[in-house]
Amino acid sequence: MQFRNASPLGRVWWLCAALCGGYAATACTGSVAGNNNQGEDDGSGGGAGGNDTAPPGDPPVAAACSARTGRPAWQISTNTAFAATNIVAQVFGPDAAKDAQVKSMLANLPVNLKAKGFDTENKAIAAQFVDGYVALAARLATLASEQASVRGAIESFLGTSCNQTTDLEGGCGQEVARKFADAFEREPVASEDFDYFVQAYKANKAKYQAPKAYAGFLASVMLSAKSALRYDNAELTMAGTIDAATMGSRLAMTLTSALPDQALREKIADGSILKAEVRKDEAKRLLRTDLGRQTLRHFAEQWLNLSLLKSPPGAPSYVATNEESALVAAAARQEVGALFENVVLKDGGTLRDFMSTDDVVPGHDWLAKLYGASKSNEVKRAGATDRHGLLTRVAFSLHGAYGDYLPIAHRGYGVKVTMLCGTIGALPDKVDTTLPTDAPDVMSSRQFFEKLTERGSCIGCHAAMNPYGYAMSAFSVTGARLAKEQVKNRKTLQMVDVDVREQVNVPVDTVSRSVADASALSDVIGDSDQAAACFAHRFDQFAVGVKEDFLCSDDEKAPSNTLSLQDTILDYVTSSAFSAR
Amino acid sequence: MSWKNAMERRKFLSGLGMCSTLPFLETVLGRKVAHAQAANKLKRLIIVSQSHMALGYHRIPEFAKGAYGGADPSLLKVDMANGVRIGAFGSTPGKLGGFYEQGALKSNPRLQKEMMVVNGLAMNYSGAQGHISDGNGSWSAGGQSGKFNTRTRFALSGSLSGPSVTIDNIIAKKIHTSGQRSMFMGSSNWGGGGADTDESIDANGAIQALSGNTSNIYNGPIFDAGKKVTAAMQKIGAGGMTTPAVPSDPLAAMSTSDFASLMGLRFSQQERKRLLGQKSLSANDKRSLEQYYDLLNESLATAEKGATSGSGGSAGGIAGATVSPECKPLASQGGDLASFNKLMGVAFLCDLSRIGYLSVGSYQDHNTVWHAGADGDSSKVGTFNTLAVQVAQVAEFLTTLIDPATGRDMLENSIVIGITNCAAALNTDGRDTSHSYHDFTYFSVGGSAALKNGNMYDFMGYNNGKRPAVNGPIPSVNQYLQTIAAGFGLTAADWSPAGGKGFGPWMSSVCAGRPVRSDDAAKTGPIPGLLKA
Repeated sequence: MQFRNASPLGRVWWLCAALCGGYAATACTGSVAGNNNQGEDDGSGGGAGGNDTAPPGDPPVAAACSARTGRPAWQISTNTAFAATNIVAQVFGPDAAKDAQVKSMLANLPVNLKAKGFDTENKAIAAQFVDGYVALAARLATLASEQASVRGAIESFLGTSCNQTTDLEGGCGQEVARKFADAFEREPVASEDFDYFVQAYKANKAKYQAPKAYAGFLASVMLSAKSALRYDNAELTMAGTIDAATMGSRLAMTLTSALPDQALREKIADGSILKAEVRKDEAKRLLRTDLGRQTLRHFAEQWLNLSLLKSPPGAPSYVATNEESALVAAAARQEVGALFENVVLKDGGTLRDFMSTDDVVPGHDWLAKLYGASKSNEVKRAGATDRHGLLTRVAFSLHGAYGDYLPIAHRGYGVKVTMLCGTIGALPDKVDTTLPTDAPDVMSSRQFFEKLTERGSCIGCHAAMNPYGYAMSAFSVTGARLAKEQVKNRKTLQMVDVDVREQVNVPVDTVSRSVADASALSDVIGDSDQAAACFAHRFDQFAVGVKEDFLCSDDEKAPSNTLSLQDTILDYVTSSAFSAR
Repeated sequence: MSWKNAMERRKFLSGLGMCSTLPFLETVLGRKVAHAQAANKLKRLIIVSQSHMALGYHRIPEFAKGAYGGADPSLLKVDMANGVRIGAFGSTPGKLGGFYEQGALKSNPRLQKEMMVVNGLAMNYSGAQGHISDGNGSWSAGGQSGKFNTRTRFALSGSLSGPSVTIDNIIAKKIHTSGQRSMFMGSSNWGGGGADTDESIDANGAIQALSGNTSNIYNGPIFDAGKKVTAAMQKIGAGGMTTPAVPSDPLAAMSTSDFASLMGLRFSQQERKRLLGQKSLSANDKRSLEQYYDLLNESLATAEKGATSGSGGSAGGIAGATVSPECKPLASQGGDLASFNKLMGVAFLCDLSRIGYLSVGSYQDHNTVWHAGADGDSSKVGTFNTLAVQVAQVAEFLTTLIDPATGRDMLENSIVIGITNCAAALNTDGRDTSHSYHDFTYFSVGGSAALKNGNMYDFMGYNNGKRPAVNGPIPSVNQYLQTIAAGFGLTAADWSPAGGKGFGPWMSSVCAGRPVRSDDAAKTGPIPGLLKA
């Protein structure tokens, strides 16, 4: 293919051409209404025929990127709730993380999770986050002033040993203070700010005792804009690159959603983090830390649009209660994150390994039963023989139903947009959602969507997404694989069984591919350069925190799907894009 | 049940004891825990009723393409486990519906933080129509024109179609002390209709008909032409209501948490000058930093005021409204809303009544503005919006009143609920012109001491059209009313006494495709997640 042996951002060129050339530029007259957050409304738009002829694929490569020039700059933005949670554990330790007030505050920070896209995209400095962060900082400062164990955790993080002091006037205490400020601000604290901290501390200690003055100091540091925000206002070095502190901060935030740890801080301090080989080694190490592993899962759940995954219906015929239903959804979501982490951390693990997996993580009895495996939070091999491929995992089935029918278009939309970075036009103002009068009384879900979306106002968009959903039409909304689908006779209202048909042609890598079912579709996507490019694109999005339609200016060469996921990430953090201002 | 809903500023500033406003001032003023606990309850209820009107569609985000009025339904985030979508009004409440940016709601951040909307509540069909008397009046007796004892209070009845009491009556009996009773006001001069007498409930549940303009009310049993005001003033002067002394060094009395946040907020403004002076800042970065520091500065201003003066009068109040009117006789009465507010102020400051009820201006029969096709007729929207404007006016006035018991404004422990007595309807295209029992809505401002305000909670009462459902049962109007009652400290024993079937027994309602809590009403309770712990 055209992008063998290239670095991740090179996928941009190819991907951009694929994205920009056609659908994005062509008025689409139908769409899946919204996404997970929009509920199940996927039948409102048009649809592809299910006649096994190749639906329109992605457009041919075209020089259509002129409207999308230039990468957005890295910029100051609000932090994420996920990062705040990580930083609490990282700096203040388990006792603080377990504190009921801290847990409540973290839980109530705006989560920023979206039905599509990444939490890092949120650039606005929201009042809700700032107020929540102020409260959190004050509580953490209080805990540190009152509990030696929390101060011990701080000193451990800083690499100091001052007997959990609250007195910052002594030499050791001053060392704690400076290191704390340096670490939280992710660069050496400005001298005038540190002087302010010291003077304020001394005055407060004289009037209100050391613990209270210590709490005031901690909160002051934490409320610095450099601490509270994703502060990326790089200073350029003489060589014209960003400075080491910014580079280290980016690396830590991207790979661990947390502050630089001690080992990384040392590489920042001696400037070696600016060297690509050092950065690559650090990245490899960070990916394997607890925070790095959690961040990989966090990324995967957002990349694959699972962060707001719908629960299976909480009706007795499905899952007994809403609470149980939510647990199923959480376990299904976590399974995908765990499988992703497993492949990334395995040297040489590729997108094909991820997509064509036979592994499962049945963290709930519901999943265990479907997969023919015992309940476990560990990666294990599925016992069931019909679970080859990632798209057969329960997470990709749990999207609710459209009336009596499976959410075919919704599933297809997910594959098209999340895995292939395809674009679907906006929903037209008026959509005819009525079923054509010549629709048969008994239809499978596939037949229903074929009929519902066959009109001219719908077909434009649905042709681009429905086929992927057809390949997944053997899976119920609760993740079970069906031999036959039970649907309602529209005239008699009696339930009847109809055959499931998964065979379909899907557009991947600009060609039409015939796939037999969801397993085969998983394999095709795993082999796809387009999907590999999309992965790199999504990771860049996650790191920089921008919406999807950018990245058209990079002229690097594109990689192939033979590049491991880990190498894709490592190449990215050593690329010029990661070092850009 | 814990909802991970977006938190409004006030919750953080006040509820968690971390930085400023309420807990800050509480520590500064040396208040006790018991006092703080008392502040967690509602103390006053004001109902604003738009008689015989229906819900405007611009109050309910329509999920395919946004509400009428330009709302953005994507702002409502799904809480799957609880079957609800939650969206914060923030500083642009109109994004959740044009209704929510009317009058002062558009620009007053204090009101924005105190708004609460609960959408998608189920009721029975007869309740949705609102055409049936609650037993104390009748359609033919003029209930449609502003009398309070008929269908104007239907939305408070829990979908009863037979004789019963309404939730305001239940609350009135519970929270009033001897000599207090609720006020009912409406005047043809400001659109409430002509006949305006109603039942006023005292602490014993005794009903008394009261004439409904401010002059008559002032001369009636609540104020006794000012004599009761004079008595209340003497009580205050004798120490019955005192303001706590300010400690000599407020920072010494401050909790470590409040102290830490104050120090942090002070530093942020020191840092502000330096960071914003950097030449390397892009325009976006500069804007982000300014937003950050402005938000912190807002908190700092309140914190500093409390720390240095101990006055506490500005807590949560609007700018410039830090000095409360006092309990003193009303010099004059009038027939407009401002006169009602003044009378309400005297009643509340002197603690002579804790419940007010008034009919909204611009009365217009819903048959005219809604069945006639107002679902998309912008020329009719103004009629619906009058309710929001008047609720906002009452709520804004409450922010100028300082509760002598707490030192903070009265809006936080008072709730102003704006009601209509007919439901809207949402069918497969999101609207129709008939009454519906799928999707009743309540709108309120105030009461953050007890309620998780600042948000729209949408339970999506209808699932087969443009408002896709999440799973699980949806709450009923009964439960919303019980939630409000619980905010006042009432329990099921109050609204569902032994032997009774409970407040607003449910009546055979079915919400299309959705299970409805149709069991014995006595088993139902407040809607989880709306009340603060």
